[in-house]
Amino acid sequence: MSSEIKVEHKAVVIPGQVLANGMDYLPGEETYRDGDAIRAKILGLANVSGRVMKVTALSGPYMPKVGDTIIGKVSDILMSGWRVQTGTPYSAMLNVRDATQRFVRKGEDLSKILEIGDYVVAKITNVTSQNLIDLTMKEPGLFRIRNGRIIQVAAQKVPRIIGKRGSMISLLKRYTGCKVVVGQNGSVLLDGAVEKEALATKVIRMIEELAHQSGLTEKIEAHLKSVVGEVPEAPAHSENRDNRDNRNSRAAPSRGFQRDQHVPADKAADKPAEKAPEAKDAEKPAASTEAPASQE
Amino acid sequence: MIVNTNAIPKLAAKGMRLDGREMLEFRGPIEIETGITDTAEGSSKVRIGDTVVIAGVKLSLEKPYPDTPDQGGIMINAELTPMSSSEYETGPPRMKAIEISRVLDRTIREAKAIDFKKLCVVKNELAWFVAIDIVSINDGGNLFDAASMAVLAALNNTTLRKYDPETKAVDYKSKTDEKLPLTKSPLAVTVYKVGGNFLVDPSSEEEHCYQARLTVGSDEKQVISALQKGGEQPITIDDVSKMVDIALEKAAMLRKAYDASK
Amino acid sequence: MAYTKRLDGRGFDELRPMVAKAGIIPNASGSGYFKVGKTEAYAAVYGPRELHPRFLQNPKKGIIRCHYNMMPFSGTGTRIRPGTKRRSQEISMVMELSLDPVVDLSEFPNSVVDVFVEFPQTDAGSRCAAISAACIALADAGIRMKDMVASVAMGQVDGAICADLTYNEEAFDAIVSDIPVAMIHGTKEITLLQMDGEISKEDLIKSLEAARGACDQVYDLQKQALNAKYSGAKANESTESKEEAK
Repeated sequence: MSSEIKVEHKAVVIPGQVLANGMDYLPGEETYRDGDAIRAKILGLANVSGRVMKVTALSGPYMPKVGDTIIGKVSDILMSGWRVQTGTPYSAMLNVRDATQRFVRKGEDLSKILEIGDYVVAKITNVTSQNLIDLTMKEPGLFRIRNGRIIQVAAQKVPRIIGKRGSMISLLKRYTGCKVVVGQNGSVLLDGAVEKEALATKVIRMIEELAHQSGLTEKIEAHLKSVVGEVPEAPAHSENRDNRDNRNSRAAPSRGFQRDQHVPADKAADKPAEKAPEAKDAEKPAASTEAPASQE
Repeated sequence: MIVNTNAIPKLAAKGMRLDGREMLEFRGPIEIETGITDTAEGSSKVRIGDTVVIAGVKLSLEKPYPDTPDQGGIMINAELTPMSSSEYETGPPRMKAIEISRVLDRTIREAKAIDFKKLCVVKNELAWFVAIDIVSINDGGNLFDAASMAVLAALNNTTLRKYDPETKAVDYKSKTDEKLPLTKSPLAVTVYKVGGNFLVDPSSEEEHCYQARLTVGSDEKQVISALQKGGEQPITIDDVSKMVDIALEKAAMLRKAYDASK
Repeated sequence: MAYTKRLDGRGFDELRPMVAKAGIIPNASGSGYFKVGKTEAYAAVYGPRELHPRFLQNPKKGIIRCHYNMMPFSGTGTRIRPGTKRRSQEISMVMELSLDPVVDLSEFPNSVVDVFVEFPQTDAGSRCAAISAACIALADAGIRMKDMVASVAMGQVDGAICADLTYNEEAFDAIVSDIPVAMIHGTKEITLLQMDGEISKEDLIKSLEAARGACDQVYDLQKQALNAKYSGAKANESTESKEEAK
């Protein structure tokens, strides 16, 4: 029997749908071989470039991965750390030694450092086979959230919201002046002027909606321009603000760790020495281009 | 669900909302469909923004209560299904469902919106009893007001069924043209106090961070038939005055949508 | 008297008019809607999410839990009192069994995927509509599945094998059997099989053979519904996002 592709490239396929028949083709991501046929394992877009059949999922739960930066919510205080909700079926552990640089006495009230209900930007350091998750906040760009708003998007849309080498996120920041932190779990922090946060929210909803359209970045930029007008690239004041915040970042030392601010996604490459999240790669954890706000 | 418990009251204090709406602005679209199920004697589906509820009416013939031997009756029940939000669980109705059904019951009953005497078939023996069930499909906030519209629209959509005077059995398959004796159109509107200011039609998030709320059931003549104060914080007489004003105005707006759907 | 013409004039292998939709309940992880004749099912999927109580957890994989519920006004006749009944518990259980063989939750140990199905109105075949709607909802939720499951109530009315029985046919004054069937689309393996009434073995097998085509009709609608929801993505998918995805 001859081999044959059964779907168009980028067609919507549903679970079990045959992508190709025959041994000339190989099952790739989110597909499986069933006798002669290669079938989809999940709802998504077929990817039929070359011999390997793949499916890109269009919806579904976020799977925790080591190295991902996520936004989580402190749900409980334990003996030596916190339990953090991650937007997955699994809560994570944040140990006190991974939360703050300073020495914490035994028996100290941990709620002074992080309180139940607080949201944090944290990084996953370990995931077990049973999806037990460890977090850290002791890296640049990880902090306790004090201002702004958090919105939820589908985890599959996160790469679109970050954009190619962080292009989309830079646009958002440039035109709204908001600090934007995109967690890989789909939680997004927007922090800026109220009406600008609202604008950024709308634009992110737009990106979600149009996630798979061509020229998305251009469309979004055109939209932002039409709403707020031209905004020059890399405004100088944001640079200054970064620096300022970097230097005097801690008004209250007992609060979340903010020692070393990370650098803008689009500048990360210029400072290889800095241990910034790999912001240049859209698939990798997000980075915000502005310092975590510590303005009281 | 993410709830921006800090941002919402802060914004509300400045007269602003997370989704950019005006404080006293309802979400769109507001849609009312009636006669959506064939097994109910009357039914409706109401949408306010993302919030969708269905209401259905079942009639039965029963012996009137001894203290009202010449009257029928109504019963309102709300099912907040776990299908409609991750916050609801299976099992018997919790406080929120009980509160919605009780307040809406008062809104309709105390307004005397249904002529119960016309529901009586044989005095002391037989009368129509109206059971209204509200089922949430998607709770995007403000189920209270959506449910109120759904109840009214379903009642207005209800027609009686034939029955056999001998056996007193209802023939549910034979519809009649006779409508339920609905004489008024009472609606409930809930006004929330957040960050010291008032807002209506809260999103799910906003419902998690209010100081107080007041549900006001009122008819087209602005007669109030039910009130329910909720929330942890007290309100002043001045608050009540303002909240009732807002509720009456919004009820008139919602009643227009209801009238248009008839 | 043989059953030579169906009560509503349909062909023996003809299903009632059907409507299927995906993504109708924004709060849910995924949702589906399936209407066949006057049987109408809303299905919502929540999860995978944390499972309580703990003793229900399976450390090897996530579990699927179904909740079948008729709205109080959805039955012909008097109001159905809300609350769990043995009937809905049993149907929930057979729904779980009919969907479990295709669902892959191996990456989500100790978790649960909840499937809630509600009916505003019913006219026989509700468990089948529930399964067909639930499967749309699971796919919409991005749950890994090896295939889709479609379900139809087959039956035999006075000697004639019929697809998608109505309430009136179930109550027909003759020998009647009601056979809800669910099948995995690709293999046509059976994941739901119940029967009540009277039937010979030969007719049973004939009914199951006829179920293949009937289930295919349901499958086509499920597929269309999911395609309709996500086709925006298809129409405009471009090289740009492909690059971004890499």
